[in-house]
Order: sequence, then C-alpha cells, then structure tokens
Amino acid sequence: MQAVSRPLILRAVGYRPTASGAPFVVWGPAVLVGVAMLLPLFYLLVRSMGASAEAWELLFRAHTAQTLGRTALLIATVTLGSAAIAIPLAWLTVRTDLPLRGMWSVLGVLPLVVPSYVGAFLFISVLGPRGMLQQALGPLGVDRLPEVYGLPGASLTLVLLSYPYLLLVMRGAWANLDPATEDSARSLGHGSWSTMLRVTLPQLRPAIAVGSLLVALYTLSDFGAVSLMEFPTFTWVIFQQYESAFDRSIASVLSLVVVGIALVILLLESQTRGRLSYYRTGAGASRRPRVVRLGRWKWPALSLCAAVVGLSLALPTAVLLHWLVRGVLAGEPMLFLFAATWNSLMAAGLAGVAAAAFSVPLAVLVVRYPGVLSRLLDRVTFVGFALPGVVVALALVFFGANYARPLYQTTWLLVFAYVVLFFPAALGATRAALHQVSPRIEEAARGLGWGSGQVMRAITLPLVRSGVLMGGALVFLVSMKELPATLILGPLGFETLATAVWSASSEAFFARAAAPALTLILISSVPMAYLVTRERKNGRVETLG
Amino acid sequence: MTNGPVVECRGVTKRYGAVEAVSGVSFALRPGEILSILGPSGSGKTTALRLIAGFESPDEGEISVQGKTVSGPLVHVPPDHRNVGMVFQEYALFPHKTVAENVTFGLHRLTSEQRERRLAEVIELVRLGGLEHRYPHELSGGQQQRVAVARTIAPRPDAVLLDEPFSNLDVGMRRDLRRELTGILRENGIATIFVTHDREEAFAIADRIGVMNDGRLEQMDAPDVVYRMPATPFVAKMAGTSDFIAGEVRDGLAITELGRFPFTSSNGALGDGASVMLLVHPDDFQVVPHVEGRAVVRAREFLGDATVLDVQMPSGATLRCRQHSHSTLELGAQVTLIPATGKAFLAFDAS
Repeated sequence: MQAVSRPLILRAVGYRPTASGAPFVVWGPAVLVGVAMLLPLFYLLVRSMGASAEAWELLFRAHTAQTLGRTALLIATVTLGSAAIAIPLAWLTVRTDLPLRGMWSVLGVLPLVVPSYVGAFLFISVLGPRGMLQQALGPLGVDRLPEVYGLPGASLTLVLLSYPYLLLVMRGAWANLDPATEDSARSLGHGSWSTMLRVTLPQLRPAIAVGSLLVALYTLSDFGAVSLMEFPTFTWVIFQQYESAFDRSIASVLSLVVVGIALVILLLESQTRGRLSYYRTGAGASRRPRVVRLGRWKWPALSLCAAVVGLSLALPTAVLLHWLVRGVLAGEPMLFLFAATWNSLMAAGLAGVAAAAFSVPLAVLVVRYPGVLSRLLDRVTFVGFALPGVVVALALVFFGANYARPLYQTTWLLVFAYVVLFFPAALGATRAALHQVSPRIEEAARGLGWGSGQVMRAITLPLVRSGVLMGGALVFLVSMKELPATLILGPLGFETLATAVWSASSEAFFARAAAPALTLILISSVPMAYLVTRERKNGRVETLG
Repeated sequence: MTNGPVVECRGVTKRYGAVEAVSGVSFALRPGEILSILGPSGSGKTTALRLIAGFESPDEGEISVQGKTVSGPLVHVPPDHRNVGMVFQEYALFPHKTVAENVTFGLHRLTSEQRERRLAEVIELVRLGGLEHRYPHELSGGQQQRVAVARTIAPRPDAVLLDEPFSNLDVGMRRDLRRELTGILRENGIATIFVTHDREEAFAIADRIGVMNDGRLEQMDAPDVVYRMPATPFVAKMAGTSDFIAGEVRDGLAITELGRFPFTSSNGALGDGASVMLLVHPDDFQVVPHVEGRAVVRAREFLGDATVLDVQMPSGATLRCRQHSHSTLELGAQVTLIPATGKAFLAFDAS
C-alpha cells in the first residue's frame, strides 16, 4: 500500500483530489466546450458594439416592431397548436386501450425527420395557388383557396412538424407518473375528469413547460418554413440583411434581439415549471397504470390520430413521391445527389461524433462534481439550445473572417457550428445515462484499488455507452436537417441535401427538390429508428435538446 | 499484522456547509472485531464510513489504518490505496460484469493464476458456486448481497465496512443472512465496522456498539454495557424499549411516584434537590393487583412467552412492564408496581 500525500501548497488552495476536485481529463475538455459555446455570443456582442449608429437606429423603427410581433405571434400559435395535438395524443398512446397503440406511437414521432423547408414546400405545392388541391377542386367551380402564404402556412407547417417534441416529453412524463396519486384521487371521490384536471395535469405541468419550451425555441430558430411561406420573422429578416445589406452589423444587432426573445422564453418556462421537479420522487418501478377503456370514444380518438399522422406524414410522403416521379420523368439531374449526400453525411457525422465525445467529460463534471464550475458550464451549454442557427452562424462568420482565417470557408467551421447548436442534445442523453449509474458503483471500484481514470474507462464508459451513442445519433439527425447555418457557413460551392432542397424549392422547382428531400428523410430515419426503439425498450425518452 | 487498532479515528469532524455531519468522533477498531455503529438516519453514521473509506475527507481530525495515517491535515490517501473494503447499502455491483468478473475486480494486481485461485476460494466461502457466470440482475437480493461481500473480501482488505447491508432484504431472509455473514467475518478474523439503524441487528452481531446521535458518538461499549449502563438518555432509547420515571433526590434516594429507590449515575454526582430521570427497563417492575392501587393497566400485548402490560401511573405517564404470559390482569385493573430486584436504577440529570 502506498501512501499518496498531497503537497501542502495544493492543500492550502483547497485542492481535494477525491472529494470535490475533478481530474483534468474531465474539467479540461469541459472548459473547452464552455468556451466554444460562449464564442458566438461573445462575437455577436463585439460586433454589435462596433455597429454603426444607423444600425442601432434601425432597431427602433416600426419595421422591427412588426417583425417582433410576427415572431411572437408565430411562436404562440405554434406552441398552442402543438399542445392541442401532443397532449391528447400522448395520453391516448400511453394510457388508453386505443387500437394500434404501438403503431400510432411510432408514427406520431416520425415527423421529426421531416425538415421544415421540406414540409413547407410540400404544403405549398398542395395548398398554394394553382396547387394540387385547387386543380382537383377546379372542375367543381372552386377557383380560389384561402391564402396559404404567411401566418397560416407557416404555423400549419411548424405545428405538424414540431408537435413530436412535446409528444415525446409528455409520453415520458405520463409513463413515469406514479399511478398511485391518481388512484388515491379516485378513492377520495373524484371522477375521472376531476382527477385529470386536479391531479394528473398539475403533475405534468413541468413536462408541458419543457415540451412547450422545445417547440417555442424550434419555432424561433426556424428558417426553412418561414422563408418558403414568406412570413418574415427575425430569422428570415436577419438572413436577408446578411445576404443583401452592405452593413452586416445590422444583422448582428437584430440577432441580439433574438437572443433576448430566447431568454424571455427560457424565463417563461422556468416560471411555469416553478420549483417542481421533473421526476417522481419515490424511486423504483411502480405498478403499471390502469388502462383507460375508451369504449365508443374509440372512433373519435382514432380519427384524431389518423388526421394528425395523415397530415404530418402520409400526405407529405405521397406528395413527395409524386414530385419525385415527375422529376424523374422530366429528366431532372440526379448526379449532384451523390456529392450532396456525401457532404451532408460527413458534416453531420463529424458533428455527431464530436458532440458525443465531448458530452462525456461535461456530463461527468455536471453529475459527479457539483459546484460553481459545473453549474456554470451547465448553463453555458444552453446557449446553443436557445440560439437559432442563423444567429450562431452569423457570429461564426464574423469570428472566422477576422480571427480564424484558416478555418473560414472550411467544413470545420460548419461542423463547429453544428456542435455548438446541438451539443445540449448530446449532453442530455449522456447525462440521463449517467444518472442511471449509481456513484456507489464507481466508489466500489475505487475501494477495490482502481484509480479514478481507470474506473472511468472500465466502469463508467461501458455503462453510459448507449446513452452517448444515442446523443451522437440525435446530433447527427438534427445537423443533417440544419439549413441556415449550412447556407451561411458552408464553403463556396459546398452543397448538402438541405441546401439542395432549399435552393430548388425557393424557386418552386418542386420536382428538383424531391430527390434530395427524400434522401434526407431516409437517412434521418436511421438515427430516428434507433431513438424510437430505445424509447420502447426503456419506457422513457430523453428529450431532444 | 500488529496488535494495534486496525482503524483509528481521532477527533474526526466533517462539515457540509454549516451542518456538522460528523463531529469529533474518536474510536478504534481492534483486530478481528465486529463493531456496530447504531443511529437513526441522518445521525452521520454513513458519512463516518465514507470518511474511513476515503470517499470524503475530514475537515478536522485524523484517520489511520494499520497505524498509517490515511486522512489528516496534510494527508489524503485516495480510496484505491487504503486497502479498506466497503459493502454498499445498494451493493453497487457492476451491472455489465458477471459474478466472477465482479469478484475478481479488486484482484487486478495478482497474476491470473492467483486470481483464479482466490476467486474459487471466495466463491466457496460465500456459497455462490455455479453462479459465476450470471449477471447481477439474474440473481436474488440475497445472492447479490453475497456477491457484494465476496467482491469486498476478495482482495483481503485490512478492514471491511458494511453500510446497512441488510436493509434491502426481506425480513425473513435477514436473520439467516446476518448469521451467515457474521460467521464468514468471524471465521476469517476480518475486522468490520457495520452501520445500522436496527437495534436488534446491532445487538445480534456486534462485539461492541457505538451509538451516534447528530454526528456525535455518544457511547461505545459492549452490547450489555450499552443496554444496562447507557451514557445518555438517547443511548438508552436507542438501546432498548425503556421508559423513564421522574423523581427528585432526597437523602441519597430518588423519590418518585412509585416510591423511593436507590440510584447510580454515570455522569457525576446528583445532590439533594436535583430532579432526575430514572431509566426503567420492562423487566424492572412486577405488576401486582391491588384494590387501592393507583396505577391502572391500560393495554396488554400477548407475546407468547411473555405478556407486556402498559401501566398508567397516577401522573398519567405509562410504563411498559414485561410479565409472565400467564398473568391474568385485565384491562382497567388497579395495580401497584413492586421493584423486581433491589438493584439501583440508573439516573440522568433532568435539570
């Protein structure tokens, strides 16, 4: 037995090797991630400080207020719409005897693989002027459909593509809810409705808040749907400023407003959630909840599921196939697909691997070494979660052009942007896996004579591996779909599936957009299938971001 | 091995913020001894174990293992260099490793041949033969516990620390496993510290019992001493079902509503006029029916070999009194209480 004594100097500065001090392999990479996360925000501030007086003046024009109003209106509409779909759907698929429950629960989350710009161009091609629906109704004397562009089209698209975020969170919460509380309410004389309103939904409030937060931030950061639906919210306005205006600091000043909106949304969420915790306090597996018998309500329930899945999944798929066939018949070029697919796979794959790798030290720090540093880093990773791709990409353009010339106009800067944007998804999955590993297990290994680094390799990593993989898969999925950061940061001539779809559909070449869109969806389905099967195996879900 | 203490704590204190989880704890674990630390949850007993194992470091005081200081103002030997084994309350088996892999995990410094031999020995010792290739989730609670014990004793630690190792088991299994485990520890002469909140468990297993309250070690003695001569009222409560009767000292006797009794005091002399609490065990008084008796039987509990009566005294306080099971006293019977022996009662200062 060798006695390892600490030098007095380390003792004097409060260094404690076992109790609270994380080893360097943990805090080193974690601090690096923290700095990377703050980089975009920092350069945004620097750039805005140097903005012209004209740029600041613009901020206070009526135009900005209108944009703000449109953004807020869209966020509110989409969040409410998603809640209206997701909450009943979660209940039906978790708690009732709905026929084909398993199928509905898988189909219900699949729209996550459909990027908003794909959804938007498909809806336009169906509902737009001289679209498929009008052509079908033409013989019946309908020569005008309600306007699809603007708020109706943008919110319809975003609701149908973002409700799965809320659905996943709600299903996890509903499955984890202790049925004993509902049973006690019933035995205390409350009917099923009263129990739902007074006992169940209040307990689900934190989950509703978290799910709504995801939907609201998704809407705030969306660029594809609002640009194709011509509803100029901040992301679209910022992008146009960046593309066309001579003074690029206007874009950075506007970006600061978006940062402000994100902060307000986060604040609202934490207010709603209050001091409630996410999870049931009593640990361990509880009884399976009683299954609610739908009886004759089965038919309305089934029609709701069918309508949601039909609109968000079946219709887009059918329309996409229609355009694909038309494209092939019209001899649309297909060769560019290989390059675009390779670019998408490479950039998103690198981002997934990097985010998964860095999520481990950060999760270990946050979960195992609570303290000032770990709390701070935990908060800092939220930057990517809260900021739209447009904003992060803009900040990185400034950074790259001025301070990191060798990186500017390379794929590396794009991958870096993906990691900053989607790191919280990887961290969440790894952290959830680490929470399942009792620290006693690691201590048992230490007590048997293994050093902390060895324990991490032999015990901790194998136990969290599936969580880390899952986090990497999630980052890969969302990076594949990411549009504005790819448009802004991609090197010249760098075409991915996402940019191919967008450039074709923004000029209404729907037939040309179909092939890359379908490829994108098929590739995204692989990590999605992994996510869904894992959810079904564990009976719980890690939230996406 | 020397004959000095295996583990020694000297004035060990651990604070979490303003809370002192462990304050000024001192004791020594002798070779081959089984020591129980008894205390309610939150009394700091698990923290004390984690300090000895090296998962926490004390704010004050020193801990030594086999005479070498492992925690102190200038030293902190990490847990992997202490040679102290710990069995956790929830066992903390490695879920991705088989029984054999779990047990040999601490034998990484041996050759593979030595490792195999030790594995066979330990498996034999805890009677897990045939289960070597199972995974922890394929075992019953009792088997998991034995794997945890086997894993801990395999590297031949200087001392074993057990943190409530029976609390996750069915009551029925508990007694058998307890007997089995103490058998293994004693036969192999393994010095053990064993933390529990279950008084019966502590008394059944331990050579000595330490009682912890609010981070302080209030007493550490052999079980019978703890039971008969508790140092504080808290220890008396932890050590058994005992009651107190109030009294006042006059002419060297304690005057109580049940009469005047001789008394001793463990902490200092109690002079005339001092108010005291006398410690009463259930078998200290005989309950006798008496028409003018001012005490009343309020409840009876038939235990087979004995009957326990709750007797209400004139002041309203009740005493538990253990009687022969053929006692025929009915509820509401008027009785008097007569001391079963002439021994002196233990008195605590009540002022």
